[in-house]
Amino acid sequence: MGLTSPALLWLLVVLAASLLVTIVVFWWRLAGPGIAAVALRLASLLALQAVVLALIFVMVNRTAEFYSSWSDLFGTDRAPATVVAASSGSGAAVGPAAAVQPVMERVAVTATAPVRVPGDPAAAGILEAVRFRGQQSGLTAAGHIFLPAGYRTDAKRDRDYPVIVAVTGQAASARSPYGVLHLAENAARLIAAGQLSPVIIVMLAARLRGRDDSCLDVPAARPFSNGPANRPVLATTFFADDLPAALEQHYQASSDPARWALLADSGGGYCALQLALTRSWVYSTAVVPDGGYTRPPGAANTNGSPQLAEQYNLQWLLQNQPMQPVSVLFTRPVPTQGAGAADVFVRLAREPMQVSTVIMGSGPWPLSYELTWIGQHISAHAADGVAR
Amino acid sequence: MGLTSGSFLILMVCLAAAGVAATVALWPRVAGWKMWHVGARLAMIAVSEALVIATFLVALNGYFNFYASWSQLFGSSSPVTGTASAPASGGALLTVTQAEPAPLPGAPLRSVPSIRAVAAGPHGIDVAGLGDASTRSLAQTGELLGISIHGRYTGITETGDYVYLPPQYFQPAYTRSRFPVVLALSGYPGSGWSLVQDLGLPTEVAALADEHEVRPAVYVMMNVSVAMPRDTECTNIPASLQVQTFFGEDVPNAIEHSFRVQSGPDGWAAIGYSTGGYCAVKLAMTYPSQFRFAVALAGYYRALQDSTTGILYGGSGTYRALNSPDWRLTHLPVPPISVLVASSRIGEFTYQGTLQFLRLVRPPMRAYSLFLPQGGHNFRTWQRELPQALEWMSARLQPARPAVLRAVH
Repeated sequence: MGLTSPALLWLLVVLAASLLVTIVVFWWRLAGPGIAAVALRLASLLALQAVVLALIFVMVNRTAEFYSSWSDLFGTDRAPATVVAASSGSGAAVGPAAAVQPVMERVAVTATAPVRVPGDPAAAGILEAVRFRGQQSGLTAAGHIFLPAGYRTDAKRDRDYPVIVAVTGQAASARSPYGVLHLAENAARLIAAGQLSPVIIVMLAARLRGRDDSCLDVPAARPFSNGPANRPVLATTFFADDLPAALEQHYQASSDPARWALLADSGGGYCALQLALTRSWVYSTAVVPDGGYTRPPGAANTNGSPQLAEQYNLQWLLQNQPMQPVSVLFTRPVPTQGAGAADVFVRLAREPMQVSTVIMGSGPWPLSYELTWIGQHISAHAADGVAR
Repeated sequence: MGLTSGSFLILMVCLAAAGVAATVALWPRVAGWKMWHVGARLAMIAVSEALVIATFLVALNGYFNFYASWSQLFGSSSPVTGTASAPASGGALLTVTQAEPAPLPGAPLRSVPSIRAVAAGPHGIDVAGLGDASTRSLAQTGELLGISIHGRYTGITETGDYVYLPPQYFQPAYTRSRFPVVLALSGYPGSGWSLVQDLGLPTEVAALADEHEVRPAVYVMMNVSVAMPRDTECTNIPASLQVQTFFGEDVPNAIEHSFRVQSGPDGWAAIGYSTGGYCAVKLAMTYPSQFRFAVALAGYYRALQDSTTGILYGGSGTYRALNSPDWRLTHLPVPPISVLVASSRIGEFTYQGTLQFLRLVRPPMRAYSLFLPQGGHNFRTWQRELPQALEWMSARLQPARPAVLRAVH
């Protein structure tokens, strides 16, 4: 009779029940004085105990599937096994999504142009148009990379440059300070003037695919179901895993989070703050214009999951998660108070998080203050122990 | 009185014996046929039976190391549904609270005595002065340390875990070497101690090292559940504990800052049994830049949710799917990791799921299997699989390189 068989279970149930009834009914026959009667009482009680314990053991074992057989229980199984390599590529047949992926470069450069600043011959650099292939997220994204003057010729090839990831929807704009050319020229100018130490700048849109600017792996606005899962856009994975891997493999980028910063326009504000609060082992600095983005953009409809809605609420994170080791700067065009994220951060942030706000004037080179502020934070940091 | 303390078990045994003795003694007084006589008999049997069962469960719990304390069993201060408590700022990432020379092969395993707590400083843990043993003797045995880890990013603190440092860690030739790390995770319910005692990980490692079957590595043995009695399945629970981040970022961060270990993925492996096996594979798949190798003994490869876990995925099917190794294999790029999955052809409910997982693995991920002909979901089975699992990891992990002394001519 197997250890896990129903027959054994029922046998024990019947045995326990009949023993109990027998003891209760014939109680009086064992009630007499004398050693024999006492011994019989003890024996009958212990027999009942033993059967009930066995019954419990068999029931628990059946539920939890600890021991599969008597030989398993008594440890007489000794037959060895060997490690076998699964046939390579055996999974190729399960579906189109599972087709074998050729190993591809994490970054492909599609165009290169020198950076020149009119009237400032010392300012220089290289601007690359690139396509990232996220090897963990599966996402591809077009972007730009600014490389500072001397990057290619630098004799110290093992030099680690700090990295600024600019999250902006205005990359194509000729007028915006977040426009690719404008940002690259500004950085080249500041580096030439010694106001910014040489830095790699990656320019990307928050919106990697579809219509979502939140940079979340599973946006809360998605309608929820416990049915077949939608294929999510793993934007956090792209920004926090794929992007650093690409920059560290193909560029002379630092792997120290203290030397990685986020710079966002208002469209990328939530994305940058969200990454700083939940991926502080990748990004230690974030600079965003103040705005009303404590919640994911466009995600007013969070009726599917109250838990995800909370998790994605930056105010909730500040109130419930440990303070992350990040520095955040909010910029404002005019002195304002009120609905912005800056006030929430200033009110709730504690050590080791640092939050600053600054009121920006206007000038010929907007974002200069932001870039130099970031530069001070990501180059002043002494490398703190183990790199990522 | 501790749930697993010997004195509590003795008390329970005494109570159970007293219950039986009282029943025997009072037996003649309720031998009549009045209604209350029969009722009293049933009540007496029920009480003594309950005491014996409770004693049995306490003994079983001690034997299997399911719940280490009353709070783990009933959940008192530990946040079951809430969020991680805010940490004291500036707290050390890792604290050593116990130290003892590691058990030699065949030696009986004792509990590890407590020491005055030592926190990891900026230069890690100075292991020279921890216990009573001299560095010279530790260079023969290695050392077993009781530790607690405080998660810098998640705020999760886990106590009652263990670190095994191999003898080489204390040998002069290795003073500048960085060792590979194996993160070992228990099942649920379990404890760090069940990896030491029930699985016998340090003893097996020492035995294999004696036979030169494994190279030296640091073993970190942890309870897979960070918030007993809740089963957290190594998941970043929305609006609650970020357990995946704890094991994927906080624990490697704390270990790399405390011990002389490698920091690249070639030097890190994860192994676990049951829930720990699921976690090991999930961690390697989601943190391939930290763990290049994973071993699952009787693991499963789907995201489960039941009465012991509570809501783990915020009610989102998509979020749940991201926690399923099977789903990730069919819907996402696969990472360049190697996994070894073990189960038994007869007696393991994980066998079919393991076969299914193996069918889904594709390059650049590599899979290896280890199937016993028979064996249940228990430590005896996992102990039989352990030597090959340890050798499999050791053959792949980047070894610690001893200093080479060259003769100068």
